[in-house]
Amino acid sequence: MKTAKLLAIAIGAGWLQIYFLGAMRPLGVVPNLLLVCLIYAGLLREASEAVMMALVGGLLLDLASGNDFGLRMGFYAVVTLAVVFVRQQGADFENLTLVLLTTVIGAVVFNLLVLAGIVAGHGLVRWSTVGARLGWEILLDMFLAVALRPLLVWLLRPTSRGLKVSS
Amino acid sequence: MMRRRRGQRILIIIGAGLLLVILNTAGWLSPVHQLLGWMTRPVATQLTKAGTGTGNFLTLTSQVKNLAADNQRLESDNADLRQKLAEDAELRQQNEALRRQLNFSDSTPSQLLPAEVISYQPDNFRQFLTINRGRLDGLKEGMAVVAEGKQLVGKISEVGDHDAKVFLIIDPTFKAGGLDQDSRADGTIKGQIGTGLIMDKIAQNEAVKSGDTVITSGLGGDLPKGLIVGRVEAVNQQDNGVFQTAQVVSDLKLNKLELVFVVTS
Repeated sequence: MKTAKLLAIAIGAGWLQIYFLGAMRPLGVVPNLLLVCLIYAGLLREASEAVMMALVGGLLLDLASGNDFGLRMGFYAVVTLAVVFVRQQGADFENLTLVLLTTVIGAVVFNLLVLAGIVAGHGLVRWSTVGARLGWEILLDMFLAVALRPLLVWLLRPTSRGLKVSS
Repeated sequence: MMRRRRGQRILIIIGAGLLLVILNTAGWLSPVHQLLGWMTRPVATQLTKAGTGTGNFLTLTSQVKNLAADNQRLESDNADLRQKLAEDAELRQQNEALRRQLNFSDSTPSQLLPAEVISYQPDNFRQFLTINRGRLDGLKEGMAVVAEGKQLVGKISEVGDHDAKVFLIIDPTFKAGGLDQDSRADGTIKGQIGTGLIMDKIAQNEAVKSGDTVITSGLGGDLPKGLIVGRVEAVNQQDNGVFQTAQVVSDLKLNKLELVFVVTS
């Protein structure tokens, strides 16, 4: 039941990012909703549960993408493990600065990985546009990290056993 | 002990991820992909429609103040196009008469298969979209995809049984042969992040100018000749360069398409 709920959250976030946000493109960019969800999952759930969510959400995005299969699964798994590691060093989800910082770093790293693939494929890149899009995406990701915080904490907070989470 | 078990669980999950990548590379993930695509189609279509609708509404709201100026420009464009249409009809009749006299066969009319857009690429720099037609509808890799008015959208890059991925012309790794319809200069059309398209490798002595229409040349690729790519917005000439480049913009909103057509012949 617990696993089903976490899978439903990862699938829901993946679907929203692919179909709704991918078509809507607020400010001309697609915000990384799954990244935000996984950062909270890394802070609130067991490592194996958070990595499982990362793999399922990443798989959905990889299947919907036209290139670089595996990039998203790998990226989200690494980000989630990094967040779990930070939590094990004593950080918790109440530290909003940590959440926002991880969001910014995650968004920058992911886009750099995609851009590396484009540059390797001899694609044309206008760096001013790249900077503008990245800026807008970071702003939207940070907005989502703040706006969805109560909902994600409510959905991801372990109820019966596991981590100690103060409200 | 508990910690060790958790570590093992994470390794198993990561191993499963690696296995998925290997299976996909070998092409064995395709049936799973097809099944997932088929199962999620109704939700995907509705979510995409809702996303497109919301995006269009937000764009419209932010552009209300420009509507009067846009309307005036469009009316002027409309008058020009009507005049051009009348001239073209005349030329077409002359062309057909001359072809008949010379016993030239008419070019094969292309067949268009309508397809609905299911989803777009879920990140910011690559440009693909997924359509609801696939191998069972006769689609093959490399087929051209157009919007209304034979404006080029892209080409099929991956085909499943019931869906296909379209590689958009504005993807930064897209390349195709292009032809300036007015000056007859040819070059290479390339996608570019942000600005749309670049027409490269145009000889310096060609008189390409702003406003010219660019079409596919049909050379060196899968795309047929004569599909509209866009119009020239600016020309960059370098005094000591061998080639000149032109900035080309498509009239299509390639991230807001709902219906496209696959050129099947």
